[in-house]
Amino acid sequence: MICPFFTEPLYFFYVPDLPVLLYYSYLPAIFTALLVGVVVLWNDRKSLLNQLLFGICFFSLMWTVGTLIMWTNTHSNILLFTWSFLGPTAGFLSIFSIYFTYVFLEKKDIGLRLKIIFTILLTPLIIFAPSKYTLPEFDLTRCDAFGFEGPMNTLYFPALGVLAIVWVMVLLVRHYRRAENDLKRQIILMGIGIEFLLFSFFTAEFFGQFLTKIGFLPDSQIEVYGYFGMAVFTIFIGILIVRFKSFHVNLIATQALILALLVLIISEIAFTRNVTSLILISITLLLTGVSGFFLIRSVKREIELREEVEQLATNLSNANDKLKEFDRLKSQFLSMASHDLRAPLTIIRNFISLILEGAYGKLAPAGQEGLQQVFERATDMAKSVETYLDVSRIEQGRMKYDFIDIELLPLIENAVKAFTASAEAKGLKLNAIYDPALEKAKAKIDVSKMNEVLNNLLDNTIKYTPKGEVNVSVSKVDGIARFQIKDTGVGMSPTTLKNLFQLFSPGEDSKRINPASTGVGLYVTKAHVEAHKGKVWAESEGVGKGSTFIMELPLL
Amino acid sequence: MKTESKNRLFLFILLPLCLIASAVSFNRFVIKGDYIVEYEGTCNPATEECFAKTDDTTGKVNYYTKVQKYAPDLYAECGESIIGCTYANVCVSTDKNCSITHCSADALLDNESCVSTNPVGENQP
Repeated sequence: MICPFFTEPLYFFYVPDLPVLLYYSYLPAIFTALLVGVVVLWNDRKSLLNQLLFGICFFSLMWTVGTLIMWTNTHSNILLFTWSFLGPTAGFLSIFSIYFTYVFLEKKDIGLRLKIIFTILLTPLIIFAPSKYTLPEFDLTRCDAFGFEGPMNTLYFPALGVLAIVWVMVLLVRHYRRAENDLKRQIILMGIGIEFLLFSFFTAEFFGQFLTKIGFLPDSQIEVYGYFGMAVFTIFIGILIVRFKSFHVNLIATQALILALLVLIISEIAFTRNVTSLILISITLLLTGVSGFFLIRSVKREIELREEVEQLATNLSNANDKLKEFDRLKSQFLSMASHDLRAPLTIIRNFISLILEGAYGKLAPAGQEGLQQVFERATDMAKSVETYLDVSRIEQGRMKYDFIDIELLPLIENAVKAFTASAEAKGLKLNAIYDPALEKAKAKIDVSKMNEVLNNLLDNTIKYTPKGEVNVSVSKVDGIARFQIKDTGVGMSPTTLKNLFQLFSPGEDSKRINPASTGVGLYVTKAHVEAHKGKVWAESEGVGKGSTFIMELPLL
Repeated sequence: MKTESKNRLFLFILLPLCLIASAVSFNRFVIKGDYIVEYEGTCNPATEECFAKTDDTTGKVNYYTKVQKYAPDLYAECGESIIGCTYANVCVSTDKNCSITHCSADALLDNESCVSTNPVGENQP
C-alpha cells in the first residue's frame, strides 16, 4: 500500500521536500562505512579484527540505508520489510562493537562462553524481527510503524545499545590503565571513535523517538544527527590505520585514490544525458577500474617486499646486537681467565727457575732435563696468556701504547740477531739486508710492542720453514720503512691468506706444524702495527711455495 | 599481530537465523502483506462522530475516522492507493480484520478532538 499523503521518492531515495541535513548526515555515513569496510577487509581478509571492523561498517551501512529508505519511501510493504531489519542490525552493531573492542585490546579471539552469551543476546532480536509481536501494524496516514512497534524495538535493542556503551567503556578503561604509551594512544583513538559511534547512534535514535512521543519535539528529526557518528568513527579508524598501521592496512592512500576516482566517474555518469558521453565515461570507468586494480596489486606487492626487507633488517640488527654481546662476554671471559692463569704461572716459573739454579740442592741430570722442559712449556704458556690478555685489551680498547721517537734499524737488527741462533739450530739460513738510507731514520715506536711484532713475525717464519732460507730485507720507500721476511717455507692457500690476521684463524697446516698455535699472534701483530699507523700483510704463491710477510711503518 | 577467529559460532548459528528471518520477513511483508494498516478514513461531522485535527500550516480542520484493515483485503479492494477508494472507508463482509473507530472520549489522542452533531472532547462543556 502507498502512503497517501507523502511524495513518492525520485531515484528510490530522493525526496525534494525532506530536510537537506538528512542527506548531509546519511550520505557521508554510507560512503565512509563502505570505504572503511571494503578497504580494511580487502587488505586482510583473515584477520578477525578486520572482519569485525567490516561487520561494524556493514551493520552501520545497513542501518543507515534502512533508515534512509524509511525516511523516503512510501510503500508500506517495503517500509515494513526494511523496518524488520532495524532491530537485528542495531543488535549486531552493539555486539560487534563489544567484540571488536575486546579483540582490539586483547589481541585474541573471545572465548566460547562469551560467544554463546552474544548469540543468546542476539537470537531473540532475529527471531522476533519479522513477527507480529514486533511489527503488527502500519500507519498509512503517518507512513510509519512507530506507534505499533513491539518491545524488541522499543526496549530490547536500545537496552543492547546501552549495554554496549557501558561494556566497551569498562573494557577501555581497564586496558588503558595497564597499557604502555603507544597502546594508550591507540586505545584513546579507538575508544573515542567507537563510543562516539555507539552513543550517537543509540542516543539520537532513542531520544529522537522518546522526545517525539512525549510531545517535546514535533518530529524525530534529531536522530539524523546520530549518523555523523559513523563519519567520526571512521576518522579515528583512519588515524589508527595511518599512524599505527593498525588493521594491516598499508594501501590506504592508493585505494582511497582509486575509489575516489571511481566515485567521481560514476557521479559523472549520473549527470550525463548524452549517449556518446555516457559510452565514453563508461569506458573510462572500466579502464580506471581495471588499471586501479592492477595498480593496487602492484603497490601491495611492493609494500610486502619492503616490509619483508624491513623485517630482515630488524632480524639482522637483533642478531648483530646478540653477536656484539657474545663478543663482549667472550672478551670478558678471556680477560678473566688470562688474569687468573698469569699469577700461578709466574709463581711456578719462579720456583722452577730457582730449582734449576740449584737453590734447593743439586738435581740429578735426568731431573734437571725434565724440569727444564717443564720450565720451557710454562714459559710458552705464560707467553700465550700474555697474548690472550693483549687480545682482550685490544678488543676492549684498553691497550696502552708508549710511543717514543726512536731509530728503527737497531731495533730490527737486534730482533734478527736474536733469532739467528734458533734459525741455524733448525738448519735454516737467515739472511738480512738493511737499506743504508734507513740509518738514523726515526719512527714513533712503542719499543716493547714493536719487539713483540718483530718476534712474532720472525718466530712464525722460522716455525713454518722446515728447510731452506729466510731472507729479511729492510728498505726505505717514500718516507716509509718496509720490513720484509721472505721464506722458502710451507706457503699458504688463498683462503688461509684471506683470514691470516683474523682472531682464532690459524692456517690450515699450522696446528700440524705448530700444535701450540692459537691463531691470536698475527691478530695481535696486526693490531700493534695499525696502532703505529702502519700496515702488515702476507703474500704467498700457494701451498709449498713459501711466504712473504711485509710490514710498513711511517718514518718521522 | 594478526588474530584469527577460534571458531565460527556466529557464522553457523546467527547467519542461518538471519537468512531465515529475512526470508520470513520478505514473505510476510512483501509477498503476503500480512499486517494491519491503520489510516484516517473519511468522516462527515454532520452525520457522524468524527475526530478533528487542525493542520498547523494551513489552519484547515480535518475530520476523520480511524480505520483498521487487513492489508491484503484493502489491496484487493482498492489496489495500491486508498485515495478515492470508497471501500477504504467501510468494512465489507469479506474483510478478515476490519474496524472503523468513530470519535469517543476514550479514543482521543493529544491534539485531537471530537466533532459531531452531538460533540464530545473539546466541544463538550
